[in-house]
Amino acid sequence: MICQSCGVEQMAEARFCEDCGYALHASGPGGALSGNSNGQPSSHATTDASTCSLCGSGPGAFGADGFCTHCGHERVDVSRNHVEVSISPQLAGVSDVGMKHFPNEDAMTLASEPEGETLVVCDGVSRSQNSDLAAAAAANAALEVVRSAIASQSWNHTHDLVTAALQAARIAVRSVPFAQSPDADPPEATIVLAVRRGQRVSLGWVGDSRAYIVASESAQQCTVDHSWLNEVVDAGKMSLADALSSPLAHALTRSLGGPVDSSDEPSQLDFELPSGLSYLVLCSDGLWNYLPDAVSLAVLIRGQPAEADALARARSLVKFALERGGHDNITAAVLMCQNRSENPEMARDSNGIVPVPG
Amino acid sequence: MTAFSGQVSQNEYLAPGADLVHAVMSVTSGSATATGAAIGSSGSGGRPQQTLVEALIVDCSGSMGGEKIMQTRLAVSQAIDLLHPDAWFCVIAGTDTGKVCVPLTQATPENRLSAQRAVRHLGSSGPTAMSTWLRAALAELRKKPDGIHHALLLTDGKDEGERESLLDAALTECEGHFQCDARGVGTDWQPAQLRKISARLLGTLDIIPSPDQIEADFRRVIENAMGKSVSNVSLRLWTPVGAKVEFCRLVYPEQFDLTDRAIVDPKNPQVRDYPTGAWGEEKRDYHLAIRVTPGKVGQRMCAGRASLVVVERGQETKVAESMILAVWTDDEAQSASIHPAVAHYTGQVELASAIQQGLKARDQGDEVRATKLLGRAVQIAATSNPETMKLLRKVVEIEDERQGTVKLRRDVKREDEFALDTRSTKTARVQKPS
Repeated sequence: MICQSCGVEQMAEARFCEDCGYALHASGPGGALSGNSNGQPSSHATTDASTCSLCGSGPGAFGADGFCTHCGHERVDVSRNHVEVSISPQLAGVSDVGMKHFPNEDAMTLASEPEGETLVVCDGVSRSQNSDLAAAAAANAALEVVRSAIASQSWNHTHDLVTAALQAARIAVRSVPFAQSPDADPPEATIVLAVRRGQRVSLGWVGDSRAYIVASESAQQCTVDHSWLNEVVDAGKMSLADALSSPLAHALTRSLGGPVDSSDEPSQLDFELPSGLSYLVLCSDGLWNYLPDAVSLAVLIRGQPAEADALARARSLVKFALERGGHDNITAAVLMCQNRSENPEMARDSNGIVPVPG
Repeated sequence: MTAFSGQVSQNEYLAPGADLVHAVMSVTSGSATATGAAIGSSGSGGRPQQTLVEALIVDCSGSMGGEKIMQTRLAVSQAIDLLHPDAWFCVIAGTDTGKVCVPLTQATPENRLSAQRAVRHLGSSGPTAMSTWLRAALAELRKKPDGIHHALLLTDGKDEGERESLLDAALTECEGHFQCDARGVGTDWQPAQLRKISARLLGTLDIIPSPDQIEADFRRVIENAMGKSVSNVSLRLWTPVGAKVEFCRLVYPEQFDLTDRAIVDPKNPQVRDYPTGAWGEEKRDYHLAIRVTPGKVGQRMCAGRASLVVVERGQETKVAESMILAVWTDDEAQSASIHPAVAHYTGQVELASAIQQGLKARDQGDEVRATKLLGRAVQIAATSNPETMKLLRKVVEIEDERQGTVKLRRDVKREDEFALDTRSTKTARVQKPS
């Protein structure tokens, strides 16, 4: 049998693709992993947690220690090996386990409402326990806050909405169960979240998952990583060149659910979309590690045919990282925005972004 | 009460694509402690441990005449004295038939005395057909189905009064019903033949060089048998679907390859039960090798679950379960190292094989091959098994133990050769890294 999703030959009796996790005999909830085009908020589809995703045994396939009683493999969520979510031609995301780092500890959630869109990308911190669950919990909780606020029309300011969503994500990560262990930290994840309403975009983040805005003539990284590198350089303790050569360079200084002595303080930024067509890209470090700067992202995303939709563009970003080794899990969410108003080109402030006051 | 505890030693890390998982499962049994799982008695009040049901099988063929049969009578008589009054026993006189000299009886003072009178009349005439001895013992032992069934078989010669297939058939009948320690007195018997009996019946094999040592050896065997407190113990191995058990070996204190002894319930083919016989207070190590379908880097797999299963009055109890893990990694530093216990016992198996093959080559006059194999044995034993090293020194002259260069001795005593052969399967325990 050939997997329809990734094209790799699979064993006839397999229920899920070994390579991408696609449900080969799709039926019922959790069957379809890609292409949710009916406007419903589609997160990564989940299979029944008591069914083994590698051999299809279950329900009740796992022993108390989490190993399948049929094939012996530890419970893993291969449904997240390769996830494609397409909400509309303008909004889509792709998350891939990559080549080296198993399982996929990235998570994303996307939603489109008449008022605007919400994008969330989270990345579980590897050395922590159940980091894949932490990332999923954060992404789901953040999206849920935005959606229910919209449903009840209880928010005027997207900035406050993002604040509330980040707070919910932080609580969700803290609620992920874990074992007290000297070998592994409690569940921990990064988050980047964007809410668009009209021409305004509100961003919030904790950690090193990033947001970029690519306009017709400019491209900018909107977020500033909460990393050791940025901290020492900002504090003037070290030159950028020296800091870059340190093994600590990319070490996180903030995360959701991190150790007690670390910070989970979010950063936020609100800005107006530049006029014309622009792309808002949220991604995990599995992508941006292969991008020297925002311009290279712009080249990639604009390099697609004019008719390419958001899914095609997100795929091309993930494919780019996979071709360069895919050392980490890779997630890219793309929102294509059209600002028809006579707004100025992007203002040339230090971030290249037009900030919205308070 | 007997308590079991189990521990798995392994390097669980495998290189990408590697599919063979090695592990050593160490099992310790002893008196029940607060932490161990107890078998053999209910917790409160408790009943006495299982009683010994013993068959003393002695060769009474023509070759046993003279001092051998006299010492055998004494040794059997003394063995009967050693038995606990709760124990049961019988005596089989082996010739071309298995004659019941003493039918199965409880070891009460009166019964002992009358048995010892009968033993005084054990004679020595006729050929040797061991299958009949084993069958006679089985029939007697079956009269007392509960208890720990054990036999001690003594012979001085070859099983030449019958076709080999008859012995094989008898062993198949006896397998699972009693354990049998086999002893050869003198040097006119065949180690390979007796090893077949002891291995199939989960017992030990040894040489008794001269008749005056029979009594002392019988004492050790009976005391050891009386030290057992629980029988019908199996090593249970669960493996994932698609996995293959490459081997399951007892590697300490003796070597037994149990791979082909697995009992599999067709309804649950993932579970194999390997017979382990009766247990007293002891330590045993089992080396398991399981071939699995390799996972991706980062995946963790339960390659096996090993436990001990005790069946008492139809009631199955599983204890000391340990997991054998497989983790695929691209870190060569992690996957390249072999666990010291796995390496040690792999060496001990090669050691036994080199000795047995080396002695066989020597017997067949192939001195080049014998020198090479026994040299390899010296090389392994030098760093891992001092007892076997002592025995090897009697058979070869060692020039360089690290290189394994040896010369065959010309003046080897037959009993030294037999001792080396029969004890080649005795292993040394893995030494803790200092």
